[in-house]
Amino acid sequence: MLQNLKEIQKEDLRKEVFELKSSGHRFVTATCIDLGDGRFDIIYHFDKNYELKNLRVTIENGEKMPSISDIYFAAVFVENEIKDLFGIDFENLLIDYEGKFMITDELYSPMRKKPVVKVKKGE
Amino acid sequence: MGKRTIVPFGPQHPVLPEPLQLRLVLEDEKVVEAIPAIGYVHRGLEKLAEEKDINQNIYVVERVCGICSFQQALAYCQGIEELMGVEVPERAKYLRVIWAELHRLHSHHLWLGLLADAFGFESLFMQCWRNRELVMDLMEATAGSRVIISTNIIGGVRRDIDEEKQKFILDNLAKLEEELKKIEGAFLNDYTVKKRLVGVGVLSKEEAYELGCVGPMARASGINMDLRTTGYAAYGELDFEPVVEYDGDCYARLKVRLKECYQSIDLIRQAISKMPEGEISTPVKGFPNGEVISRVEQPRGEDVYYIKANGTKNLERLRIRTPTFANIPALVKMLQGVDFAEVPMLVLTIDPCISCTER
Repeated sequence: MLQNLKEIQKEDLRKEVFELKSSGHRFVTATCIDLGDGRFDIIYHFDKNYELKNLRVTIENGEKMPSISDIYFAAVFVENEIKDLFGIDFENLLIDYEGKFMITDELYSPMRKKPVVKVKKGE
Repeated sequence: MGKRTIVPFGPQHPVLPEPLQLRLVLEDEKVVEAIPAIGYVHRGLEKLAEEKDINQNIYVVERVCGICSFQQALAYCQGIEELMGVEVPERAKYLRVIWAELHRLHSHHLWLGLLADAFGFESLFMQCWRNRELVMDLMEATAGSRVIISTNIIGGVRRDIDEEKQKFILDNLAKLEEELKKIEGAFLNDYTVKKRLVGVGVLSKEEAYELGCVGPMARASGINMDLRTTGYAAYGELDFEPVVEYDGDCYARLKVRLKECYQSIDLIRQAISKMPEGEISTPVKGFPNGEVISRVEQPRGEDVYYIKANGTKNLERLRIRTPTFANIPALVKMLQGVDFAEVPMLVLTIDPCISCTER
């Protein structure tokens, strides 16, 4: 139902994003969805003349995603946010907050269907 | 190379109404690097939206931001309506435009006041916020509350604006326009104000596009982008052009927002004159299924809602990308190379809404 949606493999992401950038698309954002079965969807949204293009990558829990922050700097905070909220790692992030962009040490991936909460020793 | 110092700007700072931290690396008085950090008031509303039903979520998304609460609910309702194939009555579409533009007016006045406060013009700050009260009174009269007005529902709106209230709106807008003309001169012609804003924090059109800027930030750099021109609600029936400036500095961003105040007044007048009689909502049954992206132009720019529904009363996922989040990369870029004293002004000209960012 999502318009202009392309399902791609993780390995093709950077190539597709390069092409979108060369054709003058603006990076809008990326959305992470916990599918509840140990897999995650990450949808990248791009816009040109009010028309959205979406790239969907599905990954397994524990898999690392290639960062696109060197292609679009605007992606760097979105990727860090996903890392904080879903516990998904990105390779070669331009600025890596190491999971501390917006949350504290006690929380880990609170947006997952089953959030993980770290408990300090003695609690 | 001068001496390098790291200065934490915020999270508590006189110029910031909400907490945001910028770690500024200074070389003498010049900023060479700025690293933002957020998370001081994150509320997990996207997670909460998975627990609440599709109607309760209207109240959740309205709390993403008080200043643009109507547009948050509008983006959400339009998305659900698209998923369910609901056709909203014509009158409701015009009512949505009226309230959306009232929100833009009070948001821009709030920002104008904060900007005046930031460059130390206290009487101008108070004048802007006094004028804003005219808009707040309109919200109270038409919706019963002043900030979070909760008039959107799935399928239309819950309140009508009768002729008496329409007259009240037009009277107050006439007063506001008069007042706006008075403060416009101070903002645009005052020597000190221009000294603080002209040529400061220049962002070229290419940089703004590359960094994903939205709203007045993008339009002040020459990008003709305003989602209202896509014609959602009743915008397609109204006559207007996006306000675009080309200098890309703090002064251009001020001019865009000032002109948009006049534009909002004009749009409300047009909406009132063209609004047809009729129903204000359509009864909606069932639950949505599928994925959709809904976008609206809120006062700070493009607001993006990704909604994934599964045919039950709860949503699978609600993702909100607010305009301030999109403008942070540009802020980081603009801060490089400016004087330390210019940082508060630059931070303010993106009209940062941390409440939106930390939804």
